[in-house]
Amino acid sequence: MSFPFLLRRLVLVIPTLIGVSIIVFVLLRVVPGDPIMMMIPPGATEDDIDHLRQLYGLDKPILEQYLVWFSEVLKGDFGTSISLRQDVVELILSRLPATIELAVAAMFISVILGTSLALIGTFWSNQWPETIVDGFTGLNQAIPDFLWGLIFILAFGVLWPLLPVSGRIDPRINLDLVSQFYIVESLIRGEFSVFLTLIKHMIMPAIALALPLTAVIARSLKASLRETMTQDYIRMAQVKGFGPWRILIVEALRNAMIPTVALSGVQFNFLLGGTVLIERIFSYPGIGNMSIGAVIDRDLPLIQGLIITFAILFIVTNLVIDMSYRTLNPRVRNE
Amino acid sequence: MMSGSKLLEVQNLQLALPDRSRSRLFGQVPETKILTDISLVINEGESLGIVGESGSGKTSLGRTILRLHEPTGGKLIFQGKDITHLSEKHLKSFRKDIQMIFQDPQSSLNPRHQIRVILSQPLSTLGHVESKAEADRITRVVLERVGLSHDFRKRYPHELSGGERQRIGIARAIMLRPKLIVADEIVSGLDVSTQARILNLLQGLKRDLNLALIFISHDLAVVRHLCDRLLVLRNGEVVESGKVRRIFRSPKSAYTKHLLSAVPLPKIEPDWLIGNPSMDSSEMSNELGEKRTMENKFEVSNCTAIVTGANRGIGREFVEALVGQGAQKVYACARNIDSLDDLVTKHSDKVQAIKLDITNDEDIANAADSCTDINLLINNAGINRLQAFIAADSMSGAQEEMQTNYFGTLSMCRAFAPILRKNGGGAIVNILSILARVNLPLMGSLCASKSAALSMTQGVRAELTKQGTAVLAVMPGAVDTDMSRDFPPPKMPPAQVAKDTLSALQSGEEELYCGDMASGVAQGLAGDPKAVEKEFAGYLPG
Amino acid sequence: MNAVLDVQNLYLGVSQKRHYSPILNGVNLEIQRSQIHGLVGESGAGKSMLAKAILGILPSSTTIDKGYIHFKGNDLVGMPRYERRQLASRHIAMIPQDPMTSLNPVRRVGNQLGDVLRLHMKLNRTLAQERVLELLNDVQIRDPKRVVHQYPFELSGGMRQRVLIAMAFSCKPELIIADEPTTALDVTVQRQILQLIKQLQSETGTSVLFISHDLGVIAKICDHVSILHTGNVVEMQSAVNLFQNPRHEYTQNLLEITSHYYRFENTD
Repeated sequence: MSFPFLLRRLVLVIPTLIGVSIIVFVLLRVVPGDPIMMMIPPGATEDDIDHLRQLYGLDKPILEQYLVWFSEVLKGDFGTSISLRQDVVELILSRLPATIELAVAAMFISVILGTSLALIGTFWSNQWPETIVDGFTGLNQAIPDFLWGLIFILAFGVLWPLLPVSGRIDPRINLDLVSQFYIVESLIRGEFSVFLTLIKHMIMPAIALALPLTAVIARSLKASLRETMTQDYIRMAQVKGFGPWRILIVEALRNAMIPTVALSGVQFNFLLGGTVLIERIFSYPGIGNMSIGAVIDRDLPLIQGLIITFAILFIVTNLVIDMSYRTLNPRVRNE
Repeated sequence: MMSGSKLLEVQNLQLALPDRSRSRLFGQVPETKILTDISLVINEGESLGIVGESGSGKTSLGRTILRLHEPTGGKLIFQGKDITHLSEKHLKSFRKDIQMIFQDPQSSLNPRHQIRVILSQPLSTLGHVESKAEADRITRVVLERVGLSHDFRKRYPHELSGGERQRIGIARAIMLRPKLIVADEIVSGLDVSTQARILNLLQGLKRDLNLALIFISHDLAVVRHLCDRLLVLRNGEVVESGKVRRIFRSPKSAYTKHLLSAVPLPKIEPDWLIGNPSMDSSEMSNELGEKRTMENKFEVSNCTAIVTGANRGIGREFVEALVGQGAQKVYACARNIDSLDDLVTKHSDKVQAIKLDITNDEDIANAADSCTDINLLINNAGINRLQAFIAADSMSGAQEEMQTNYFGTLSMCRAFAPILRKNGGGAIVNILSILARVNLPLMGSLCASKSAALSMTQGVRAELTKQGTAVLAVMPGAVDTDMSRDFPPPKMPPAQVAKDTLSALQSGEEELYCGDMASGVAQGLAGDPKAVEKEFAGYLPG
Repeated sequence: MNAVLDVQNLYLGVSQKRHYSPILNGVNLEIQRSQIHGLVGESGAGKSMLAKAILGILPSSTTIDKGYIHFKGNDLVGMPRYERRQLASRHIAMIPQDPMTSLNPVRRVGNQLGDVLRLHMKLNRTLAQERVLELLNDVQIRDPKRVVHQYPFELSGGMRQRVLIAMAFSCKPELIIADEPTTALDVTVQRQILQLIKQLQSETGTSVLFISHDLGVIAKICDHVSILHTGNVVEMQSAVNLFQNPRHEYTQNLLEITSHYYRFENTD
C-alpha cells in the first residue's frame, strides 16, 4: 500500500513549501540591510537608487511583492539574481548537482562506515574491537564537520600535500561533460582519469561531512543491535545452528536498523545543512557555497531560491528515509 | 455468597475500533466491531468471570468498563450514575472506585521505580493522602495484606518473581480501597501452585474488603475458584451466562462445552489428544476467525472463482473483471456451454467453461465435483418473467422465477459451502436486484423471488460466518443488459456492477447497493418506503 | 543403549559478582528413543537451564561444573564448541515457549523455514520452497501458499506455534526440546498444539523432552515424567504410574494442588 502513502506525503509537501516561502520572504525583508545599497556604484543619485528599487519591485508592500514573486514561481521563474545578474533557476541548477553528489557520497560513506562499526562492535562486544569502536564514535560525536574539514586541509593539504584542497575538479582538465553530475557522467562514459580527480577533490569534504553522522549511526545501531541480540528469535537462530555473522547480519541487522533509520532522518538534514560550511571551506562549487555568497550580497531572489531548494532537498531526503523505514518494517508497510 | 446492591450495570454495550489496516487514502478509517450488545450486572462484593479465547473481546470489554475505550453504543451505569460519556475530569472520582490489574505485571510496573513509589503513586494522584508518613503507613499495611514483607518497599520490579510481581499489581489496585477490580488474565503463565495462591489471596481480599471483581481469563479452571457468575464470550458476543456452578455442571452452549473439554485435567486420558474431529475444525476456524474479524475482507487477486450465468451481461463482466484483477482461475458457467466459447478462447489459460443449469441438481453436483479448488462463488444466474400476481395467465412464470432465483441460488450455496470451508472460508456473492427491497405492480412475482433470495442470503451468511465464509448480497439498480432491455435509461453498465462488487468484497461489506438508482432507493426505503415504490412504479416499462 | 539423551550427575551454577549460586545439583535424566519425556518443575526449579545446557546456549555467566550430557555417543559437555554446535543444531531442535517473539518479525515465514532446510538438509532454493509448503501442510496450516509470504505479525499465536513446530520437525531431529510450548496459548489452542506435537512425534519417531509446570498438560502428552525440584530430579516414572502412584512427597503435593485446582466435578 505504498502508493497512497506516497501520494499523501506528496500532497503535504505543497503547504510545507508555501509556508517556508512565506517565512523566508518576510524574514528577509524585515531584517536590516538593503540589497540596493550593495549593488550601486559610488556616486549614484537618489534617482538611480529609486529606479533600481522599482526595477526589482522592492518599493511595493511586502504582501504585493510576495504575491508577484509567488505567481512567477508558479511559472517556474524565481527571478534574477541581484548580485550575479543571472536567472536564479539556471544558477541553482548549475550548482545543485555538485551538492547532491557531495551529500550522497557523504551519506553513503556514513551509512557504510557506521553500519560496519556497529557490526564490529557488536560481534566482538566486551572485547578490544568494541573499545576501539566506542572511542572512535565518541571522538566523532565531539568534533563537528567543519573542524574535520580544517584538520584534513591541514593534514593532507599542507603537511602531507596528497590531496587537492579546493574546487571540484583539476582546472587543467579539459571538461566536455554535458551534465553537471560530473561523477556520474564520467563513470558512465568511462573517463576514469576525470573520475579519479573528481574523487580526489571530493574525498576530504565528503568524509568531513560524513564523520559526525557515522558516529550517530554507529552508536544508535550498536545499541539496538545489542538489544536485538537478546531476543528470542536470535536464540532460536543459534539453536538452529546458523553462524554468528549470519545471525548478526541476516537475523538481527534489519530489526536493529528500524530505530536507526527513523533517527537518521533528522541527522541527514544536519548533513545537508553542513554542506554550507564544508563547501565554503573547500571552495566547492555547490549551492551551499553559493548560499554564503548570496547572504553576504543580500541577494534576495537568490537566497529565496536557495532556501526553497534546500527545503525540497530536506523533504525528498525525509521521504526517502520514510520509504526505507516502511520497507524495513513490514508492520508499518501494511498500514 | 455475598451480593449487595447493584454496583455496575452494563446495558447493550457496543464497541467498534478503527481498523488502520483497512484505511484508505482519504475519508474515515473503517471500523471493526469488537463487542456487540453486551449486558451484565455486578453487585457489590460479587465476582464475575469473563471467559473467552483470544479475539473474543474479553480484554476490550474490561477496558471499556474502565472507560479506557469509548463505547460506541449502550450504557455504563456505576452506582446508579451513567458514566458512559462522562468527561475525563468527572471520571476522576470514579477512577478511584474501579481499578485494574494488568495481564503483564512486568510491563505495567515502571522498572525505574521502587515498589514503595509504585504503590504510593495512586495515593498522591487520585487519593487525598497528605503526609508522606501516612502514605508509608498505608503501603506497609497493604503489602502485608497481599502477603509480602516490608522489605519489598525498597525493591525494584525486576528483582521480583512472577508471583510477587502480580501481588504488587494487586497491592497497587487495592491502595485506594476500590469497590470494583478488573483483573485481566492475571495468572496465566504462572505455576499452578502460584496461581492457586494468588487466587486465594484475591478470594480473601474480596471477602474482607467487600470487593467486586471482574475476572477475565481464557482458562475456565481459574474462573471456577473465584467467581460467582460467569459470562462466556465469543466474537464479541455473550454465548452463555449464569452461575458458575450451573455452567460447570450443565453447560448449555456447545462452545462452553468445548472450552470445558479443552482444559487438561491432571489424569491420564488417552483419548483426550485424539479429540472430536468436528470440534477441531471449528477450533481451527475460530483460531483463524480471530484474524478474520480483523481483516474481514476477501482478496480477489489469486482467487479461484465460479460464476453462473457467465455467457452474457453481468456474469460475463464478472469473468472479465476477475481475470483482469489477477484471479488464478475462473469457472464460467452457462446453460449453453457453446455460448462461452469466445470467453474461453480469449482467456484460454484462466477460464474454463462449465455446463450448468442451476435448476438442475445433477448439473450442480457435477460442477461441485469438478470445481473443488474455488474460494469464491458468484451466483449471478437469474431469470425475469415480468409478471403480475393476479393478472398473469398462469403461475408457471412465478414458479419458474422462484425455481431459478431462489431455489437455484440456494442449491448453489448448499453445494459449494463445504468446498469453501475446505478452502479456507472464501466468499459467496449473490447478485440480486434492488427489486428485492420493493414490491411493484406487474412484476410482483419477480420482486418476491428476489426478496426471498435476499432473506436466504442473510440466512446463509448467519450460518456460514462460523466457517469464515464472507457472504455478500448485491442489489444493483437497472443495468444495461438484455434482461432489462425494456427498462428506460439511465442504466448502469454491467461492468460497473462487477467492479463495484469485487471492491465491496475486498473491503468486507455485507450488502452492496450498486449504482445511483439502487443506493437512492435503498436510502429512500429507510425513510419513506411507500413513496419510493410509487415513484419506482412510474419508472417501469409499460 | 536405547537412550537418545543421557544426562548424568549434572551440576550447574551461575556466578554473579563473585557470588556463586547452584542451579542443578546432580541431575540425572534419560530420554528413550521415540518417547515424549515430561520434565515438570515450578519456576526456579532449573528446567530452562537444563534445556539450555543440552542445547548449548547457556549464558556466559553460567557454567557446567560436573557431569555428562551423552548424545549420539558423544559427551556434549566435553566437546569443542564448534563441533558441539554442529552436532546439536543438526540433531536437536527446539519448540520455544513464546511463539509471539520466537520468529523474526521482519522476515517472511517461508524464508525463515527455508533457511533451516537449506542449512541442514542441503536443499537448494526451489526444493526448500517445495518442502516448506509440505511442512506447513503437515502442521495443518491451511493455505500454506499464502502463509509462506506472510510476516509473523500477520499470524495468530496458534498459527505461529504451528510454524515453529514445523521448523522443529523440519530436519528430522533425534530430539526435540519443547520448552513450555503451550503456556502462552489459549486452552483451546493449547489442545490443538498438543495434538499436533503428539501426532508428528508418533509419525516421525522423534524423542521429545517436554518441559512444563502444568501436570495437566504433562498427563495428556507424556510417556515418561521426571519431576525436577530445587535442582534435582526427585522422581522419574512412567506417566501412568506417576499419576496413579506418585512416590515423592513433593510430587504428591503438586499433584494434589493441581487436582484441586482443576476439579470441575462435585462443586456443590
